[in-house]
Amino acid sequence: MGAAPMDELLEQFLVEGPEQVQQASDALLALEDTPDDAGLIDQAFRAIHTLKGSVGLFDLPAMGQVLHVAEDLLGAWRDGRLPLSRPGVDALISATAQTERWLGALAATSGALPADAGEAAAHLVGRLRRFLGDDGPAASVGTTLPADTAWIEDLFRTRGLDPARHPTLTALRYAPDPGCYFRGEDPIALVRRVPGLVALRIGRAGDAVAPPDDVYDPYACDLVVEILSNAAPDAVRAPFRFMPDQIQVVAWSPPPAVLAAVAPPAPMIADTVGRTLRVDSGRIDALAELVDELVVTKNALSDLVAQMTGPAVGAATGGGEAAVRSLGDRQAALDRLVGRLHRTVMGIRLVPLLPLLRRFPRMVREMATALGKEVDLAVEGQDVQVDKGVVEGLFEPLTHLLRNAVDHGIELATERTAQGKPVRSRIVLRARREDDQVVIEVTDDGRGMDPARIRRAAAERGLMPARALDALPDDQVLDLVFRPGFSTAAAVTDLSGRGVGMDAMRAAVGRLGGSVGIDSTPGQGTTVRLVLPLNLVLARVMVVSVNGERYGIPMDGIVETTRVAGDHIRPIRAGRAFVLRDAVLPLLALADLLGLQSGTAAPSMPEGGDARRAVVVRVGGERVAVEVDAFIGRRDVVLRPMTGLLRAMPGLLGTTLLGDGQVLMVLDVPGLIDAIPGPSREAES
Amino acid sequence: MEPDDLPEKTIGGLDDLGGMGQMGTTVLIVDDSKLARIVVAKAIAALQPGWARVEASNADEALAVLRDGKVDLAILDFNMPGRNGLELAEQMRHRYPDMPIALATANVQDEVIARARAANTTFVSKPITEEGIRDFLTGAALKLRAVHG
Amino acid sequence: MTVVVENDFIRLEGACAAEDAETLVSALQGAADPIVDVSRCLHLHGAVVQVLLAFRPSVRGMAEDIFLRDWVIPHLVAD
Repeated sequence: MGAAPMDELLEQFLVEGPEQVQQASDALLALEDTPDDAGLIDQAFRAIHTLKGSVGLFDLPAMGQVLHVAEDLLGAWRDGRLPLSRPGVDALISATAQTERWLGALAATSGALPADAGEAAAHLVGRLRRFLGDDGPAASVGTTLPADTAWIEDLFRTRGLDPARHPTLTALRYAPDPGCYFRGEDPIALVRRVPGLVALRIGRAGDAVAPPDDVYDPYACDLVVEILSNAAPDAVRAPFRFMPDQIQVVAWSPPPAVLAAVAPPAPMIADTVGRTLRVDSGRIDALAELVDELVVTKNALSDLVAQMTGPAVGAATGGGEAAVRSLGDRQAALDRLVGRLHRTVMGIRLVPLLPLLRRFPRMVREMATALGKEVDLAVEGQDVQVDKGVVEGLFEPLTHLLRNAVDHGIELATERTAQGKPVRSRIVLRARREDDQVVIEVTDDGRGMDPARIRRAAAERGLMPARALDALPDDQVLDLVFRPGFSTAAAVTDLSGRGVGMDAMRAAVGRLGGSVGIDSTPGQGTTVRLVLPLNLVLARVMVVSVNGERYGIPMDGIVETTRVAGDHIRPIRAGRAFVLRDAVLPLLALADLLGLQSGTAAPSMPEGGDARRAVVVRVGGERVAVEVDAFIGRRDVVLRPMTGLLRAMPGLLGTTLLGDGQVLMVLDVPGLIDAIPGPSREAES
Repeated sequence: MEPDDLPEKTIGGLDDLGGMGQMGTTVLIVDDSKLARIVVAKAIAALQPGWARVEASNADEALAVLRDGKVDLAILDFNMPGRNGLELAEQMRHRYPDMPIALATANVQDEVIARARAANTTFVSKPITEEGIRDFLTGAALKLRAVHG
Repeated sequence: MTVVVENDFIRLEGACAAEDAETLVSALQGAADPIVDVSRCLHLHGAVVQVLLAFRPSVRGMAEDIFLRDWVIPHLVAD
């Protein structure tokens, strides 16, 4: 509400308004002399009633509130529900005088009321209400007022509200009677229906004494509810229509003396359970590093044992065989222990996402209020746990995404209504575990991102040649907002700022070993998806060799290992297949999948004549056999996910360090197979 | 009104009050329109299939039913010729301080609300729906359990 | 069941109605240091809320329902 250009309606109002005020005040003055004149009461009523109706066309809450109460009072007098009183007429005259002054202010400023209008209105409303019997017994002016509003001021201050943002509020105090539950009343359900909530306090009536030992009767209602709302008193009163005797509704303004308190810190809610021990996180990190090294050393030991039990050595050691076997047993036990230790330590590093997620609802609410938008934030996946390092790195990117969504994604209420969308927007912050990854999505139901505009902006910035831009499918066009060129101020205007800072955000997520993607439907909304590794997960891999090089295949993906006699292999179209028990499986060569030299022509066979060794994996629901030169063994490894340029390579899950210091590449065999063009892996049955 | 007409409630006649939705609970439905009584009965049957229902088409009949002493809660139509639901409720309240009573009405004026609250009755909106009387029935069940232990 | 007792947790799930208040009272009285998990809460009847106010157990989790999460539960704990 500030100075607005004088419009036609306002002009007319400023012509009629003074006339109505004149009529009302004439009638009221006359009533002082002849209080029994019903005609005068009627005249005053109609004038105020008309005024109230007109004021309703404009956003003048202070004026509206005063006129509403004035109309109520005059209506009660006119209907004979209440007797006319001199002080009441007095109060009404004050009200009309104030209305007249306000009309003058409106005319002078083209539509703005003075800054103290709210306060003046609150005072007048309180005064008039007394004659309606709303504040309980007593027509005494002023004495009940401070006591009545003490709880309001207390609530206002406790919640750290800003008087500048809330010049007038409706305060409601609801004290349900003890038997209300037996009538089927639910105070909480009623409170849900109160519009414009700004503050809410639910407390206990009477003595607030914890009753752990006494017999506590939960069905004797002892709740007291105090509410501050920015809706009009009638709207706030509405849900309580059937229990008007249990509520107290006051139009209130914060006195200037109420200093905006520093917002209280978000209440601490216990999310840790049971006995806890505070441990310096550096110690846990050191522990994790030690365990990593232990894993590597343990693997070195397995290699050593393998070498000592290998065919070339076995014959040579003679009586040492027993010692070697015993060594093997010890090594297997060590294997298991280290595995457990590793899992336990990594478990310490796993922390819940909840404390992070919990910060966002309030943040989004504040952002939305500041921007004049109505946004609800739903949060899902509070049970998800991730590596400590990942959580710490998520706050900035998520804050950025949410701010983007509220600022640029969500439309103003008017725009939403015009599109038939609900006035309240909804953003969903959703976290979930998928295998060894954490997926976090921020989805809004706002205006979405328009590929056409992004293409245009990209073209203007010379980010890509026009031909290339045209050739890009829509879903990849959205990805362009992650390019540095889109984070400039100029880009902000074009895309309504949606691209701001996205390149920095992608880089931040990349440093966590994760990736970011966008999906959007213009007009409907946008989803930004972060995919992060759970990090440092111990993976069980089968180490195989191809062309003298070693590779790891996660045991998770291996259905079985098998040997196939060379003469059981059949050629099929451009490939090979064989029968495994009752099924025909295609046989691919890992060397081929990796693009290595030897291919399907006779590979070196270290032993067993013509038998080929193959690992059977599942690809898209079917089993496929992948030939390797040899099985080396199984290992528990610390899988480091790919970062940087290699991240996007299909077929590579990560790397790990072997006992002899060499790097083992861990393969995503289904991914490698999927990357093959053409039908070469079809098997004929 | 005529307090002597209203019978003493016979506690011995009520059987099996354990738990929610107790068997042996009887609801009195009072409305001059048979159609309206059917609607109410259906809604109650859906929410509390184990409860028995008795009907009356005016205040006098209702009092007669109450004389039999088997009614645990009542839903009264407000807008009846003769004594309306509110007056009936006020009369019943004297004799049955603990009986859950609801007034069914489409349109409530403030004065009616005040008197209804004084008589500790609940409002249910007409047309009656399951949703509309669910809370009243829940509260009544709670009350009956509390009163009878 | 909308009040589920699991080890030391008392989980309030879905829409908790008036009847659940009694169950909650027993559960709270039976536990030494009770913790109430509200993460799957959709509604809390007034009777349930007043029990929480009376016993003031630790509360954990963010309620699924936004009104409860933002307006009711934080102030059950803080005030």
